[in-house]
Amino acid sequence: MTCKEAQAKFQERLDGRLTDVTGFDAHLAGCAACRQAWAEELALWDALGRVPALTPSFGFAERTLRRLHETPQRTWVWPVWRWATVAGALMVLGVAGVWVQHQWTGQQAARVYASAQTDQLEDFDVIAVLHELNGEP
Amino acid sequence: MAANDPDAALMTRIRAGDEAALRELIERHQRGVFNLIYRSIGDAWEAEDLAQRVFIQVFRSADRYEPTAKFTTWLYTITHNLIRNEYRRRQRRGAESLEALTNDEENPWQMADPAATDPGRQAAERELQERIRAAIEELPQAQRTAVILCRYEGLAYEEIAGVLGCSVAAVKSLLHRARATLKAKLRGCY
Repeated sequence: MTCKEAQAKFQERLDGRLTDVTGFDAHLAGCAACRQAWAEELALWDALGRVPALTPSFGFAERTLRRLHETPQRTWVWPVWRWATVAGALMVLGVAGVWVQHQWTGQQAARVYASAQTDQLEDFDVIAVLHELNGEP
Repeated sequence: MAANDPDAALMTRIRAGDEAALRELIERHQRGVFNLIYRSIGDAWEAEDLAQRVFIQVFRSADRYEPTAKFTTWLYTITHNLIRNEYRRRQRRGAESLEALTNDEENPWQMADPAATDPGRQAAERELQERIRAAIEELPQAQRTAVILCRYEGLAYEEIAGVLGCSVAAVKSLLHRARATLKAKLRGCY
């Protein structure tokens, strides 16, 4: 086992999960640098254990259950800015829709008018031809 | 998994609205949840508030719990997410964590391992504990959660990976980096 391999196994050794303990210990027995590094890791891990756990204050479970009843279940509530964004987008879509409708209607009207004009012109043409045929000015 | 996991059995009852089962679940896991939060944010009052919210969330999300993994993985995932939200809230508001409680008369939280009776050693020990606690609190969140769950709650790497949503290799990397940072910060203190 190399020094790099041994030091990579420090965490597993600390957690008691290392399978090749014999190989690890053998390397440490023959490597002062790794022995020193391991001693530092062990000292740190032990020091962390000196911070004791706290116990929640008396009646924690009771207070939690009481709060469960006092706290209304959140409904599907959006923040105001999301509502504003959706409303704005709907307004833009609405205005765009009205504009498109207006444009289309206008174009339709223009086509009908143009068609009517053409019909009128055609009528005039017919009338002009009739006049011509009748020798009228 | 459900047959071997008493917590899964409790969750089945909680899903049906059984509050007695919720109380039992709270009493089984309140210490682990509370300490994960307290060690992360350093404020015991806030830690209790958040811990209550964790269990309320557990109750309200019971129908989403699938007993395919250990219950503690799901529980600590909820806890980790609430801690992360709390940090974001504090960053937005520029809040600072309260100083650790030093006056025993104001401290309603029992220490699981009381310090030595010698007042001088007691003060020195308390100062060391505070330095260690602060050093852990200053770690990046993923490293902090990994260290707390590994060192204090004894979770396996696979469980920690489930809580953090990463691989086992990533958990080992987080622990390695956390240890290096803590060693540098606490050198000479212990």
